[in-house]
This record gives sequence, structure tokens and C-alpha cells, in this order.
Amino acid sequence: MSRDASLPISIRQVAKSYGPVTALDHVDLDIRSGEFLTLLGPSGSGKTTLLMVLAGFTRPDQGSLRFGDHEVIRLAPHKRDVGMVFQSYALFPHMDVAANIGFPLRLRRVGKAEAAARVERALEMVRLAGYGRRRIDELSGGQRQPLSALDKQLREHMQIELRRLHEALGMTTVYVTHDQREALTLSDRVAVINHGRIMQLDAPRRLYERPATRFVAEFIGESNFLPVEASGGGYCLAGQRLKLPADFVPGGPRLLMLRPERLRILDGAAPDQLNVLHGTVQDVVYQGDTVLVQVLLAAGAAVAVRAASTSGAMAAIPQRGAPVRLGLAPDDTALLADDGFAP
Amino acid sequence: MSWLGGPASETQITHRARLWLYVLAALVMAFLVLPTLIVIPMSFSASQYLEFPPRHWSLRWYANYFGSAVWMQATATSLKAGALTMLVATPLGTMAAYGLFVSRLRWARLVPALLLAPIVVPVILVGIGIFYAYVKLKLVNTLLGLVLAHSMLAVPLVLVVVSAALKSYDMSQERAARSLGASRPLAFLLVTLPQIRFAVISSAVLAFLTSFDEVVVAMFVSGGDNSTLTRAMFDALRDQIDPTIAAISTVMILISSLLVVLSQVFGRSR
Amino acid sequence: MSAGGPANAAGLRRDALRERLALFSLSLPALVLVVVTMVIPVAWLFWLSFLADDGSLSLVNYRRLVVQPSYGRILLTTFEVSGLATLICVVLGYPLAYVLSQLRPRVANLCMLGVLMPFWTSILVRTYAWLVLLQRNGLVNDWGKRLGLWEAPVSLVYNLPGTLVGLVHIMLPFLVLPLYGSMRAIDRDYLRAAANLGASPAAAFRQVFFPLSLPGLLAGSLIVFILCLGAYVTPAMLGGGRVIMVANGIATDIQMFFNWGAASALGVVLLVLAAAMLFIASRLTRLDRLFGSHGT
Repeated sequence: MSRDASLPISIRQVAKSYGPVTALDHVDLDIRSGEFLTLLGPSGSGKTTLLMVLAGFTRPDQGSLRFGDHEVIRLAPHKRDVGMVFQSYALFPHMDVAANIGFPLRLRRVGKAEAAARVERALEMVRLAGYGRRRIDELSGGQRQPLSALDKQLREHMQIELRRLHEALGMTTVYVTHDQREALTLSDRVAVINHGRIMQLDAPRRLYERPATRFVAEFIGESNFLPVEASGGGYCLAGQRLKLPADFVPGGPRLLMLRPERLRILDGAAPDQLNVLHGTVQDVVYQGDTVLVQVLLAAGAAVAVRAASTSGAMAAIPQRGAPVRLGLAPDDTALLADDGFAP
Repeated sequence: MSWLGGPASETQITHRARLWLYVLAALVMAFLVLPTLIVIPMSFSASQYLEFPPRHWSLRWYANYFGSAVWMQATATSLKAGALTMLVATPLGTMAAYGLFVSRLRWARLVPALLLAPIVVPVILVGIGIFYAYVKLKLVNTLLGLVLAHSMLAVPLVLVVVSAALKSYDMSQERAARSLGASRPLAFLLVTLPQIRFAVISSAVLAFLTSFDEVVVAMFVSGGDNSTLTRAMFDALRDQIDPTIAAISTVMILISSLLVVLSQVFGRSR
Repeated sequence: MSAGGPANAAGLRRDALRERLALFSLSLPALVLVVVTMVIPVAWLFWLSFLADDGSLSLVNYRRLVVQPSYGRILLTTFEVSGLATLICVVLGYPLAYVLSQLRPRVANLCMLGVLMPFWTSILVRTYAWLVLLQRNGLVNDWGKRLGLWEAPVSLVYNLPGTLVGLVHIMLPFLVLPLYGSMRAIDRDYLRAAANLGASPAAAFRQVFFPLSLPGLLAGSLIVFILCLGAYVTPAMLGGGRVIMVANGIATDIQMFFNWGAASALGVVLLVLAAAMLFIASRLTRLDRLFGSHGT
């Protein structure tokens, strides 16, 4: 009888303080059945603490934690039936690979034959069939542990592997990282966390295109920010009225978020529907797959523009010191509240 | 000897220029190591008087040692006391090391201080203090009293060695085991203990040797039928310099070295 | 959602307390052993030192320490011997530690076994070895005569020199170990920087390496000094009755005179001295960390 690995998780009012330092500030979070959710935040944000609370290694000061219908907040780690993967591998060096995988089975007194079969299936699933007898120090880094300590290419390959495994097994998965690209790649939803509080919980795309606060916008992807003035039901930048997205809800002082790759260098007549910004080219930096253009806006601020590095696109970039017009689609014109949080 | 001209350190000083330093260091090493070793050939000397190098060889002192009921009794006592001390101090010290390492008690600074105190307090005080207490408790000249006292002396050593090993041990392994379904004690036994076994085994050997080699407390607390080997040796040395002592010393060196070598061999994780 | 207060807070607090107690109980057996066999007896001694022969509270035992000249001599001898032994250990141990710290780690570890070997041989065996070596027709006198250093056998044991040799032999590892550790920890880049900035090897040693090795040297010296204060076996066996240190005095007071008052008072003095040294040591190392190494 196997337990259901796709239980939804419900976190309510979980708080944890270490003396004067608040690690978790009354967190509420609902994780759907079978979902891959990533906790994304800088170091010290509380993401690891929250994960430890889920696993049972950190006891919060208060709160409720449910796996499906069961309240587990006071349950010891070994009774929670969660599988935890540690940053430092945490593979048992004094056992071989098969013994490592079979460890939980042995604890649950699963019969030898059945355990051996399940270990084999597990090995096949991670593409390590036949490695059962190997000792841990004979495995390479990539074999021991996906992600973290690996180089970039291997890491990205592993991320895709992890997604494949998740899709095949359908387990509710909570992942912790400070790497926003990794979070966007792997997750069904991402919870951006800082100062022990969840700033925003959304699917990757919405998070990227509609960040709720400046902190989230700065943490995910690159962006520049310009203050805009409210005027008569809308917003203006340097006196020019901005064309805003259809679903925009006005209210309060705002910042205009400019993602470098969403600004287009305009060549010739500007299409009607775009917002246009005027400025002068400061620097053009070739970066291989893209070109970074530093522009000083007439409004006074400096912004970065990311353009394609195809010869056609590069030819359209004015020289240093020359004037330039940047186009921004209304849908990409994201105005957000300045929450004053430094990322 | 071309290396003499080579650089000996980051300051590029040559080996030749500091040859005197190497000679001095070698002499000091010899001073440390050799004196103990001369006891070994001495024990095979035929002469009644302590002479080195021996002119004639003989095993008479060993015969003296192994043939004497008194010496054998003392040796048995020391071995028993050592083994029992090892069996008491090692688990106690290891448990304390683990408990202190894992907990975050506010008074967690007083406890290690207390547990390390036996190393700091001059052993003569410990000796007379225990003697005084044992007289009242009728524990003088008993094996139990001796083992308790020696265990107290050995616990700090076990604590230090095992704590050092725990500090360089990755605790997330134990957490991994617990997340996989092992309770804390089980996780310790199945995952942590096998990986700190070198420290546990060497501290066990240290505990044994602490008891086996101990002189001062034994002098006050062991006696009569329960005299330790060291106590008997100390008394014998007061009277005359009996070459039998050389034979006994050699046996003691042998036992100690054997234990240390064994602990290195069996303790090392692959 | 619970109506009365934050969810599960009381229960979680109870769980946390239970866990803390469980972990503390792991140290309990060892604690009980140490308290029962050491703390209580030593506290008892403390108490005894303040009791006169008739059982009343008094300072007579301490007064005796001040008044009777023999005790003054004992304390003086103890400090002299401890100081000399520590000094010799520093002179011999520093070069050894230095050379060891310069060796490749694997070779150094092997040599360390030699340094540690005294730890696993009984102090009796080591002292006995010195008895043999230093006696009138022992090896040292033999070689001294052969090398023409002296004609008649020199009295090398059953006196102060003999005691010092024995003590240094026993204490040397206690100095070398922390000193070695501290030297190994010195970043080699500092020496390279010194050479790069124009320092000769001698100057680099004097102004960079030596000051950085001072914390380890101080720690080791203090350990040696404190251990020498409480020395018993070595002066007893190699001193020939001419070197009476505090521990010997205590033992004599008990074993020969059954004078528990005197012995415990002397013991308290020894304990206070050792504690004071430790305190100075902790202060010194903290200061060191605060001010870094001195030097131009």
C-alpha cells in the first residue's frame, strides 16, 4: 500500500523567531496537489526555514500545517513521510547506492525481494540502472545530486530532468532556490519570499510580467525603474501620457518597470499603439547572444535595452551619443507600487 | 644533496642556511621519542644493575614478572580497570558530545565546562578528594571505586575527541535519515555513528590508556588486592630500581602501541 | 482555526521543551559522574580547609601556610620549577613545532605520532627511563665521560636537574601541539607578501611569522605552566626528596601526617593558582584577538 504522494499542503499562520530576528512572519500558503512550487528569495529570506518547517526539522513558534487532511505541525520528521533532498548531497558514504536508496524501505521493513525490485526501478528512473553496487565516492557530482554545485550547462540539463521526473511521478514538490531562472524553469508556481513573508505567489509568466512589488520585479529578471506622475485618472512619464495594459487598476504613486528586452529600438515611424521614450545612446555592449544598449533618457534616468545580436538588428542601433527612440508595448508597461524593500 | 640549495619556504631561504634548525628539531624529536624506547632493550639485560647497553641478554626479568603472583594480580587489576573504564567513559562521553552538539541550551556553556573540569583540576586534588570521599563510602581499594574515578578522568578526553569529529561531520546526513523514516536515535546509530567511529574508537583507546597509565589517583584509591600495576610499580621504584620494572614497562609500551595501531586500522573509514 | 490564541503555540512550546530536556539528559550520566566523583569531593576539601582540628570554622590552616617556612619553600620551589620547565619547553619546542609546520602534511602527521607517543606511554615508564639514563653509571654519564665532557660521574638525577629533564620530557608535547596548530594556520601568503615587500627571511620571521605564532605559543606555555604547578610523579621520582612541589607537599601531609587541614588548604591554594593562570590565559588570548599582532 503506497501512500499518496500528491497530497495538497496547507500552511497557516506559521511564525518563527530567533530572539529579535523574525525568520517566518505568519506565513499562509496553499500548495496544490501534485504541484511543483518553488520558494524563491535571497539568503536570509526564510525560504530554507519554511522548508525545514515542512520537513519537521525546525519547530515553528505557532501555526498549522496540513498534508491533505492531517495536521502534521507537531509530528516528528521521521513520521511525516516527506522526501527531502539536501544541498550538500547527504548521501550516506558508508553505504552503496542500492543501500542508500533502499534505506527508507529497510526502515519500513519492506521485504528483501520487493525492496530490491523497487530500488532497481528507482535507479532506472534516474538513469543510473546497474549502479546499485557502486559506492558513493565513485559517483560523479552530477550523478550524486542534480543542480546546485554543478556547472551551468549540466545544471540546466538537470533542471529539465527534474521536471521530467516530476511529471512522471506527480508528487507535490516544494523547491528552494535563490536562482530566479531555475525557479521559472522548474515550477508550476513560484512564491517569492523575503523577510519571512510571501511577497507574491503566481505562475512564472505572471510573476515575470506582472510583478506585484518592486522587490519582486528586481529579484526576477533585470529591470530599470522610473517614477511616473499620476494625472487625471492615468499616469504620465515626462509629460507624456502612457498607454497602459487593459487590465490595469489605477491607484497611488507608482513606478514604471522597464525590462531591457521589452524595450524596442525604433527605426523609422513609431507604431501608434506603442509608448515612446526618447533618449541618447551611452554605450553599446556586445554580449554574444544579445547586445546591451545603455540609454540616457530625456526624462533623466539611465535604462538598459537588450537587443538581438543579429546583424540586421545591430545595424538599427544608433551610435554612441546619437539620439534614439525606444518603443514599449502597453502590455509590457508595468506599473507597480514602490514597496521600499531592497531585494 | 642538491635540495640543500633549494628554497625552504616562501621567503626563499635555502635549506642549507637553516640546516642548524633541522638538526635542532631532530635532536628534540629524539629527546622525545628515544628515552622511552631504551627501556625495551634494557628489559632483556641479564645484569642485576641497570646498564645500557646490556652486556648479556636474558629473559630473567620477564620470568620474574610473569612468575610473580603479585605482579600478575596487579596487571590483571589494571587491565580490568582499563577495560571497564573504557566501557563506561566511551558511551557516557559520546552521548554527552552528541547531546551538547545538537542542542541549543542556554546553559550549554556550563555543562561542557563542568565535563572538561577533570582535565583542568590538578590531579593530586582529585586524588585526595576522592580518597576522602571513598573512605566515607567504603569504596577505597575497590575496583568499582577505581573505575568510577578513572572514568571521570577519561570522560573529558572522549568528549573532546568525539566533539571534534562531530564538528566536521555533515549533520544533514542524519536529517536525511530522519526524513526517510528513521527516528533520531535510529538515525544516530545507523548513519552518524558509523561515520564518527574513528573518533569513538580512538577515544575508547584513550580512555583505556588513561586508566591503565594513571598513577596519582590509583595511589590513593587502589591498594591491597586491587592495586593497579602503576601503583605497584611506583611503590617498587621507591625501594630499589628493580630491572623487572623495565620488563613491565616494555609490556605496557607494547599494549599501548598495539591498541593505538589497532584503533588506526579499524577506525579508519574507507 | 483555533479561537483561543495562535494555533498550536502551546503544544509546540511543550514539544520544544521536551526535546531540549531529552537532549540534555544525554549529558546527564556524564555530568552526574563528574559531579559526584570530582565536584563534591573537591568542594568537600574546600570546606575542610576552613576547619580547625576541633571542627570549628577557622583560618588556622591558611595561617600555617603563611607562618611555616616550609610551605613558603614549597611554593617557591613550585614556581621556580614550573617556570624553568616552561622556559626550556619553549626553547626546545618552538624550533620543533616550526620545522613540523613546514613539512608536508603527510610527513608532519607521521612525525606527530612521535610527538604524541609520550601520551600513550605511562608517566611511570617515562620517568623510569630517565632514572636509568641519568643515574651515576647510566647512559648520559657514560657518554659524557667518553666524549670527554666530564671526568667523574655527574649527579643528574634525584635533584633539580633530573626533575627538570623529566618534566620537560613530559610537558613538551603539550607545548608543541597547540603551537603547531597555530603555526599551520598562518597563511603562507603573509610571508610571500613580506618577501615581496622587501623583507629578508630573518626579518619576515621576526616581524610576520613570530607575532602570528604568539597566540599558540602563549596558549601552550600556559598549559605547560599550569600542568607543572600540579606535578607530582616526576618530582617524587626524580627529585630524590630534594624537590618538593605543592602536590608532593599535599601527599606528604596526608600520607605521613594525616593532616587533612593542611593538605586541603595547600590544595585550595594550588587550585586558586591554576584557576588564576587559566583566567589570565583566557584574557590574554582575547586581547590578542582584539589587537592583532603587535609589531612595526
